[in-house]
Amino acid sequence: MDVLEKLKILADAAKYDAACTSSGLERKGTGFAMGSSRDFGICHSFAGDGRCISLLKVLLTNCCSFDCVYCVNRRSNAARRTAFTPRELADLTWQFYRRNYIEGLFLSSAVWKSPDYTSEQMLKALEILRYEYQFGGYIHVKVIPGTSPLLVEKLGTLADRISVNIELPSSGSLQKLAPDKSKDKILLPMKQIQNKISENRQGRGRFGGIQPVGKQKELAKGTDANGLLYDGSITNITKEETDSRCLEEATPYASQQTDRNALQKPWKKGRSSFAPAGQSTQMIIGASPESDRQILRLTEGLYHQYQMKRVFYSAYIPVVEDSRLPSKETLPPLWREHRLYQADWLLRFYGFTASELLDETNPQLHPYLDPKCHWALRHPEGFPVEVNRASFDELLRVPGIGTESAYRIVRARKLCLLDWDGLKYIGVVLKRARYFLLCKGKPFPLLSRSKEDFLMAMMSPKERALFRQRERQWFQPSLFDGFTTDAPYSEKGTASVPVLDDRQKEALQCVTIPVFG
Amino acid sequence: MRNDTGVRMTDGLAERQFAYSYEGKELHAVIPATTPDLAYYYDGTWEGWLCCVGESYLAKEIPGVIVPQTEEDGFVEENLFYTRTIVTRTDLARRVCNGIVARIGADFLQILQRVFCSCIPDKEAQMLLFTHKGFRYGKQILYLRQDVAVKNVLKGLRDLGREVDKWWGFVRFSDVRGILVAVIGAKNHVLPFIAPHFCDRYHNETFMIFDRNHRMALLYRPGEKAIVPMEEFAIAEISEEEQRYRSLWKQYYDAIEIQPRHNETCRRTHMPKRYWDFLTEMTESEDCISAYKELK
Repeated sequence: MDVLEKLKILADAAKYDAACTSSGLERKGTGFAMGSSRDFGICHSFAGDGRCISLLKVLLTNCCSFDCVYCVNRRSNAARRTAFTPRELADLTWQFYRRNYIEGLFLSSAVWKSPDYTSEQMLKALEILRYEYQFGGYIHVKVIPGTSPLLVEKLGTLADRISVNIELPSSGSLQKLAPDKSKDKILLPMKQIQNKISENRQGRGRFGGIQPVGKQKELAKGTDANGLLYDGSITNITKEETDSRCLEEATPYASQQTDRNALQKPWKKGRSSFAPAGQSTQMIIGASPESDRQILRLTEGLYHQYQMKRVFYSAYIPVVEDSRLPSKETLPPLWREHRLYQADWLLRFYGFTASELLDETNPQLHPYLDPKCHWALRHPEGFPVEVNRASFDELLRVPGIGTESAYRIVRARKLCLLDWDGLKYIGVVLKRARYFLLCKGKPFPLLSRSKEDFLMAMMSPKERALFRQRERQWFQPSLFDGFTTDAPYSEKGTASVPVLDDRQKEALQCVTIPVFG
Repeated sequence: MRNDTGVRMTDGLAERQFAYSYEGKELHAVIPATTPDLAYYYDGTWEGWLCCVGESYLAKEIPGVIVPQTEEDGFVEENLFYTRTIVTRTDLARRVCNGIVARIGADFLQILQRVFCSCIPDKEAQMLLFTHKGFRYGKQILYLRQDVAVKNVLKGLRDLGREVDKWWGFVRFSDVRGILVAVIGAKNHVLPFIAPHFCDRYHNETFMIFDRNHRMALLYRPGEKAIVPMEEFAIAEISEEEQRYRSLWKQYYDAIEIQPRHNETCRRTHMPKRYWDFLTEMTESEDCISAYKELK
């Protein structure tokens, strides 16, 4: 088969991987034949679905021996199968990179013969790129659950980011939908990677091994409060445990073509780092009945216990018909995915915890309000805050103030007292923030406090359109019969779907409006 | 009212004239009021602009507008302004440059240089006002975003930064007999800012990036780089090999989209249409893939 055909099939099969980031690593190009890496990441193009194309995201092969229900490449699905040779893949990456089409390679694969065999093929492609071509660009490699630890280690030394997909948010769903994968097979390489990364960090630089104080605290907090992963079972795989299992499972590394000596050497002089851009993971949203609360708690656990750089969510897109899955007509839950990403940002940059955002009585994220607004509405006791006195952390919790504008406020008020105009220029979204702020002790002048105005101010134009559309449907069912949209949580087949109209009523009625001044 | 940093806190210090004093001593001269009907003409170079700053500082006046044009360049049109032509003098430019570095800071100068390459309207006059304020309030002026001049200058900085960001990704090289060439069309003068990135990344290659809008080109070969004026450039012939990779890329671009998630607005937000002319995947048609297959 021609490379063009192969590329078509294998890119098509890889596109459901959400991650396409090239960030987190700054590396100069000198010392390589070609290629560098920028820590902020570079997007090279944007596909028709608006997602960034940063890396050449392909599968090595789509021949699969596993039978995961949700996957296009499952054994029992009729599809054209093909595989790149390691050389073809390396050449393609090299030539694309040379034309500045891509930032590097994102290599994943279906399970061909066995996890170890597939990983060896992937390893060969990376070896050609790193040793033979002296390629300095970004490489993200996906580890297949069940790969022997020795191969994971080899992959990690050649790649910049390494990831193991957690696939589904609970082990029950995993058992049901991905019978060939198990919780252990996924978490074990994750732990191994985390251990390797921290080991490596300790060996490098003057302060390499020292965690910043804030981070340490955070980690400590994370482990005792959120030591729960996967349906509340405590997962504490210790380093000794992984090491001993590594020894047991180690299989002889069979790669005859490449020079053994070269393998033992780091691919760049003076550099032996293991996955310097960290590890990430991904899970599918909407294929199984977990609530947002469970998902967020799992995410938090992954950030704290496994020191993930990112957790990606991918809205489930029905590609195969199966009784265990939502029906094929279901629209991908894009709004839910969006809300989860918003909550994810709150966890990572705003100092929120999962339990603050959602609790037992409130297991789903609000369909019309973003998680931060929703949190603020449920906690009127913390507001209003005085812009000129509030601490950085307090400012961060105000809807309409982001990390950047909070920082700018703190800097600017050293120079002079801030007024409402000043806040506008700083970049605060006053439309929202004015309900929660005081400026020089005074509330925003002539602020409308009617429930409708307030609620509309809390929503973005898109959310408002969605809300009104629902409103129309609510009042004029005959007009909008058969009118389908990708409204939040409208996916069928999930267990805990909140009834939309109740939610809407709640949004209108139960919202408390902060009144002060 | 003082805060713990010892800086006097004031109310909307922006456009107001007030005696800025610390423990009774006046720190800097008061910024002169803007003269709206005064226009400076200069030669459009960075040194020329620095001289405008110098002259305005010496004459204690702030022009309402600064025009990058001189009488030698061509006809300076008759207008209602009282005009003054600023002659570029290396010694004055250097003096201003050193003054900025010494009294405000090297990064302040860097910001000015970047903004000078941006395309915001009336950038010269805004930057002049910004520099005057910098001399008066020091580096802290950067945090005073509520000030109009500061706001405009920082907007220019942000515009340029964003475009530089985009071009890092959107430059598309073509291989012409072993030399990489690319054509871009930037709003701001981005070449000096994207140069370090590309020179580092492709340090073993020989390449050229031609900016169609500014008629400038970045030339690089190992160990040497230059940004030179260039009138016109077009890629004459595309080799078979080059066409092959273009087709492959187009194929990849089409395959990677998840159809049920198609979102045109989102694509155009991140990749505005003005870039599409320069992107292989957007200019190559579907035919290139079939042509490629026939070739085989």
